[in-house]
Parts: sequence; C-alpha cells; structure tokens
Amino acid sequence: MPLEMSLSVVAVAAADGLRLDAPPASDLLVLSVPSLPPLPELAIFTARMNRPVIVGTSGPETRAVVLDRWGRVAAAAPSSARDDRLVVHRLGGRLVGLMSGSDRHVPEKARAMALMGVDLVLGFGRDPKPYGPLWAYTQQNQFLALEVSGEPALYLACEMSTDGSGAQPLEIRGGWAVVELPWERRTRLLEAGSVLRDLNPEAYLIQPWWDG
Amino acid sequence: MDRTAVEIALGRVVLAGLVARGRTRVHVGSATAPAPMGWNRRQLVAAAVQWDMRPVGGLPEFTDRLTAVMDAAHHVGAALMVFPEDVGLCLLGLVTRYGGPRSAESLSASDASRYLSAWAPLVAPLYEECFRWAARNYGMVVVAGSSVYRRRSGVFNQAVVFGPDGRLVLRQPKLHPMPLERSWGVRPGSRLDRPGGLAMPLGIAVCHDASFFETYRMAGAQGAEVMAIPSADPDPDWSEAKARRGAWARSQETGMASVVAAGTGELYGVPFTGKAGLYIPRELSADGSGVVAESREAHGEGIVAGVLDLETLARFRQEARPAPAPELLRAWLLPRYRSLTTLT
Repeated sequence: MPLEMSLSVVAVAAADGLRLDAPPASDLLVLSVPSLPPLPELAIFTARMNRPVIVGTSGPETRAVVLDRWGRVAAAAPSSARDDRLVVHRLGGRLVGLMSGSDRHVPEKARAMALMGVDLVLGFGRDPKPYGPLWAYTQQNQFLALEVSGEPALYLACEMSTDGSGAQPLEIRGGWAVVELPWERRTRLLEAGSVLRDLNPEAYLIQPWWDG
Repeated sequence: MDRTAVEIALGRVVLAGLVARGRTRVHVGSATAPAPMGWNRRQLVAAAVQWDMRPVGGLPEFTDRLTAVMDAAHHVGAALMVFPEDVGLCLLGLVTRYGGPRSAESLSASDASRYLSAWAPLVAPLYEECFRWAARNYGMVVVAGSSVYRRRSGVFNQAVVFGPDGRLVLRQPKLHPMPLERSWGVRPGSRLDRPGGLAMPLGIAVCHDASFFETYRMAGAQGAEVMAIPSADPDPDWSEAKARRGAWARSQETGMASVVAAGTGELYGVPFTGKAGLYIPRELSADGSGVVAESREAHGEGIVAGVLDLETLARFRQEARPAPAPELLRAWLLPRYRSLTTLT
C-alpha cells in the first residue's frame, strides 16, 4: 500500500516511544521496542501521532510493522531466527529497508537491498561503535542508514558527512531524535560516481561463493 | 607522428636496453641466510610495507630499498611480505629521468593511457625479477604489489605473488579498477584465483577490490583465510573512517585476516596516502580495535608486522560468522547480478 507522503524528516524515538508525545514536524516516526505491542495499541498510537510509524524490535530477531498515518498496517516483517526475507517498503517515494541484529555480518543482504534501489535502511540492531556493520554497509552501498536502537545515528558515505566520519550522532530533544535526510547530497554523490558501478558481476557469476 | 608518439617510441628503445641489462644485474638481499619462517597451520607471522611511491632514479636505488624492507621483515621472522599496489610503476623512473611526462595531471586521459600501456608492460619483467629475488633470497611468500600489464584482452593492473622458492605462483588482475584507472584504459579482471601450489591459505584483493565483500567471499570459498591487500590510495587526505571502510571492514564481516600494504608519497603527480596494517575481527583483539599492527602515520616508509592466530580465526568464523544459506544468497543476489550484466 503506497503511502502518500514525502520522506524528508524522520524522528527516531530515543526511549520508549509509545509513551512519548509527538515530536516536532516529521514525515515518519521510527521506534525500537523490546517486543511488539498488540496491533490495536500501535494503531491508536499512530492515529494519535497522525503520521506513518515504523515499529521494530531491537533483539536478534526482527519483527517490524509499518503503519500508515491512520494506523492501518501497511507492511509487516515476520519474525525468524535468521531473517530470510528482504524487508523493503516504499515510503514517500523512497525505498526503505529494515535490518535486524541478525543481519550483522551479512553484507549480502545489504548489497541485495542496494541493488533493489533501497535509499534508506533502518537498523534495529545495537551495533558496536565506531564503524559498526550498518556503518560499513552504508559505505559500500551508499544508501543512507538510521541506527534506531541504542544511541540513534545517521550513517552516510564518508564523502557526504561534514567531518568525513560517515556518522552523524543525532541530537535528542524530548525523547526524539529528529533528522533531515540529506537526499540532495546523496544524489550529488551518486552523480559523481556510484560505487555500485564498480561492481564486477561477471566475475561473481563465474565464481559464485554461495555454492561453496 | 605527434610528440607523445615520438616520446613513447624513444622511451621503448631506452627501456628495452635498460630492462635487458638490468635483469642480469638484479640482486636483492643481504648475506643473511633465510631464518626459519613464522608460518604453520596454526599461526602466521605477516608483514606489510608502507612504500614511498616515487619514480626511481636507477635500479640500485630500487633494489637497495627493497633489501632494506626485506631485511626488516626477515628480522621479525615474517613468512609473508606484502608490497603496495602500483609499486612496479616506480620503475618507470628508469625512462622518465631521460624525458617524458612528469605528471599525469598534465596529460589527457588518452595520452596517460598511451604512455602507461606502452611503457609499463616493458618494465614488468624487471619488476618481477626484483621481487623473485626478494622471495627466493629470504624464503618468504612475497605479494609483490602490482604493476600494469598488457594482455591480449587489454591493459590490467595486476598483482604478482612469488613463493618462498622464487616461483611465480599468481598473477591476479584487479577486479574493480577505480574510475581514474578506467579512464586510463585499465580493464577489470574476469576472475579471482588462488596462488597455485602454496600451502599458505592466502587470497589477494588489489586495493579497491577490498571495498567489495564479494572479493573476500570468493577468496574464502577457495580456502583463503588471510587476505593480502596491495593498496595505493590516490587521496591526499587520509582519514581513519575512509581507511576503515576497506579491508578492516571486510575482516569484521568475514572473520578473515587482512594484511594491507600502502603506497604513500607521489608518483607522477598522483598523491598517495595510506597506512600499512594487519587487521582481524574486533572481537579477537584485546583492545577491541581489530588492529594487530598499523603504521603510525599515513606518510613515509616502513614496515608493520604481527602474528595472526589462524586457529582462533577459523574457530571464530565458524562460531560467529556463519554464512547465510546458499538458497537465500541465490535468491537475493543471483538475479540482481544478472540484471547488472545485461545492463552493461
């Protein structure tokens, strides 16, 4: 179900977001919770916030729900010990991928998402810092990524960040970290040269490592 | 005939003579006999060079520097020595000291390509001879960095590996040339190979190849546990973050060790910065950094060395880095790689 919205400003809950008041203007709310509350509770919360919400669990298993601004479920990622689905959803004209703690050290999943055209990845695992897996996936795929659990951070290609670190910690106000996604900078980066253009798929197909 | 063509032709004559004479005069190594090497199935003593990239003034200058760093590696008992990418191109100084371009910046991409493809393959035999000597005289596996080669299908940036007996065991073209290299006509290699006949579980990723997890996965599927990375990053501004997104990050993802050699300095107007280093998963390093050894500065020359615990790394990979199921990878990646090949 496409959601009619833009995706420029995202608010990430730094605490138990379900108990927070509405953040400043934002197009999407993202919450990380230990376990998913019942859907009616989520629907009421979303309707109260009057904007789309993505709620994911922060444990090794991903469960995530995407709700539109009226609280209707637009997509749900199932739980599994080892995520075997690429959880990707279109929001405000952007493709958003979801990753869990079990996706750490599975660069294949991030690459597949990038090649599907994913623009933004939401990470629900608690990554080591600095230079955790989600940061590294961002560098080798040039999407944007938001670390939702723990200390919220925006990851972007080193060339895009003002200090060259590829990581931008988010300031928390009233329990929310609000970030404006730098789409224009990313467009300029990709126009200057996308690292995905340097892939060598012919070699990978000749020597497919997945077959041992 | 334009000026470039004349210079190239004259340079070829000069180089042909210099290389033929030079190959008979190469000697790398001090008088010390090879010591017992630091390598068995459980651990590997590895070393990597940080090399000041500049055109050589003469062959003895090159072999003296080579001897100095090989001596240093020998003293720490290294069984593996890795040199930086493009190190063979330093030998172009043999001809450019008589004339020719001083800076790639002053050339169009097509002229740079003409010089490179005409002269670099000519110095390749001399480059190989130097490192063959180094490997044999010190009894080490030497990853001799890379140089530019011309093959029937085009021009390639190719790494060369010698066994401890001086035998050439691998020529590995770079799989992912940088855009700058592509503009000079350098083509990507078509496959990743393992050094033939080496018991050491070694794989090669030439510089930008380490930016792609696929290189490590392909090498790992062939039995590699330690990746040697000859690199030369054409970036005047080194930063830790940019450095950590290459081989270091691949070691975190795959659990394989990385031995990175770095070019520094300036070669024909192209500035290089980088640190030589040995990297492992951060969980296995006492301070959580994932760094076994690393140069202090991203400039200058020297070596770094350290011991890689292959047994612990193998156990770690098994327990903490299980690969996703093959059917998932086939579903995730195969159609997407195929779609890329049909687009190009």
